[in-house]
Amino acid sequence: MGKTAFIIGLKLKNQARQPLVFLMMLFLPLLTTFFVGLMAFEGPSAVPVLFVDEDQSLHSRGVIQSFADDPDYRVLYGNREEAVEKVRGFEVQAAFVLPEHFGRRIEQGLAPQVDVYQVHESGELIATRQVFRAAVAKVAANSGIAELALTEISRDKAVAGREDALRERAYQNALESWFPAAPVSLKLEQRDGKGTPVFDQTAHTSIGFALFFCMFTVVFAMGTILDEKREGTWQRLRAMPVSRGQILAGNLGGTFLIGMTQMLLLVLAGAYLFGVNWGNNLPGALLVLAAFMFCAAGLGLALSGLVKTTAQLAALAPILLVSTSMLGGCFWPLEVVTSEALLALARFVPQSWAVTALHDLVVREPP
Amino acid sequence: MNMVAVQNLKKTYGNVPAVDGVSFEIARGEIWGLLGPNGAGKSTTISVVATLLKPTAGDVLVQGKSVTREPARVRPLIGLVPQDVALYPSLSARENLLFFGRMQGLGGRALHVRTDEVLEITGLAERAGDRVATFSGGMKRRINIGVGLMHKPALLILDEPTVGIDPQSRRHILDTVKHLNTEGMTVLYTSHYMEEVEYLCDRLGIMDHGRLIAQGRKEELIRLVGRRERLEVRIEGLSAAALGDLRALPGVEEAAYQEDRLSIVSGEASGVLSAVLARVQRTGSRVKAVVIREPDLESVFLHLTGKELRD
Repeated sequence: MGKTAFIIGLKLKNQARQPLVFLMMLFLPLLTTFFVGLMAFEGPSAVPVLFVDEDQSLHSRGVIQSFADDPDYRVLYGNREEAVEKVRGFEVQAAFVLPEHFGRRIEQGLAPQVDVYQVHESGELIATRQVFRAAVAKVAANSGIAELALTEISRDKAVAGREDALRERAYQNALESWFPAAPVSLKLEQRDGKGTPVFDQTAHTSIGFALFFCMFTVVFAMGTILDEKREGTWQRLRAMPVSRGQILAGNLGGTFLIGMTQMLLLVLAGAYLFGVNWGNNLPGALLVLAAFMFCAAGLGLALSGLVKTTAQLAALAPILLVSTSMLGGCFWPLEVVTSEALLALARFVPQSWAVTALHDLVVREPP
Repeated sequence: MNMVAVQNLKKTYGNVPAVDGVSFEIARGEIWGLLGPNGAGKSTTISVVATLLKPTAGDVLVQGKSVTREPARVRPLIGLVPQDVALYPSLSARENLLFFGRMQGLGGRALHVRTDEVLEITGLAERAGDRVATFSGGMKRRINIGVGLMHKPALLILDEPTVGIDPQSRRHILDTVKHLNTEGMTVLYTSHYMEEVEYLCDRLGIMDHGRLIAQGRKEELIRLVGRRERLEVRIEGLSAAALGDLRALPGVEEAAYQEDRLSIVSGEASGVLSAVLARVQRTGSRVKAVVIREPDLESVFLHLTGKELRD
């Protein structure tokens, strides 16, 4: 144990004398958490939609107005050329061209043809087209109601010569009669209670990036074995009365402590800089982190045995760590992954178990 | 009992023999030299003695303990100084000595006393607190040797410890080895520098292509070439054909050309000098220096292998 402890001490001393890498691995996850956190707080923004109103009728303005009244949409105006340009430049999600006689055709009970410009099909666009159809249907219904009202009023001879004004008034009355108050009131209530994990974006980001960057530190700290072999200190130790087990245990222990130190600093920084709630079960979190660090150190040891040089490790490790971290839910929650195959694969990477365990520990209340 | 007994040692990599049936013995308290060009198998032999490599066949006994059957009992007996500097550059000289001393089982006050002693031996006491990364090549080599001395090993193994260093550091290292030997330490010293081995070693072996082609006291080995002298001519660009012509000259027994140096072994070098120079001048090559040497280990190597000891 004595010699193992001295090898651990050597590992820590060497790391302390090369602080740049350690500080970088401390700074990067904090920076990433900060920016991802900012994005998370921004929330969804209004969808930009452009209208080309070639009709300039009561009905075309009515359709556009219904979009303008909807807080989920931001309305822009332009001609056909501008519409094409803005759609291609992704400045707007879609452009609707309301042609001449749009209103007239609605009044005649005919379906006007509307050109829609878009780049890619998406769920959001399908929803937008549905909203557009609903808006046109509403305008058409208003028009029909107004026409009906005018027919009834026209039986009175006194209105002769004022038909257009009466039609517009009837139309406006019909329009205002749609939902004078909200047709239904939705009250949102989260029934999570005890034991149900609720997704917390900031907590997930902090956990995911902390694990990802700590894994880098740990794998490369273990990779210094390759430097030792290149510089001959490994062989020198092997010619001394130190067992291979003691040398490996020393390297494993030192690497584990380096990883845990970084993780604890990230936990503290997350809590005090970003207000991340790391939950009320600190011993549980530490246990999960310790298991994960040993796992990462083991991976580093395996990789160091697999490759011959630090350059090879530097080429292989990022590919392996980034891909398994993506798979394991370090960058986004596994809840958004729909592929059964990917979810099954995720069970084979340690990151998924650590992320899930830590996230649950953070968001669940203790029983 | 001998300090070291190497018994028919063989080590192959695939089908390539790195060491091929090498046997020798080192008595207690002697400096035994292993001389040979790069790639001769010296480092492989030493790695087996130091328990770093398992032999394909044969064995090595250190104080009667087998490196194959009981390596853990051999390791405390040896101090290995590898060919490449094997130190932690981010640690100071003292920290390196302390760490490796602990790995050798030293501790407490004895460790610190021994560290100070080794710093004195290596002449680096004044730079003890400086990081090894800031040291010159010669200073690194001295600390490299110091690490091997920490536990006062019964057998000090030095694998080409003077490669690539300045003459002053080389002289310091050679004197240190000599001094350690006078205090009773057995030394196994490998080199491809003939002068070092001649200066240090009581007995030596000459290796080439994995085989020990000769061994014995220096005088015994030189006797192998008789009273033949060696004519050494510094010359640029000698062709293989010209070398063949030189070998055919009357009185020339051996001839080799390497790195601008033509070596000719002859019963009487002065007798063949004019014929050699005349032949050389016909090639148009420029002669830079001519020296006639008494028989030495270089002559022995040339005599045994037909080539020079240099790389």
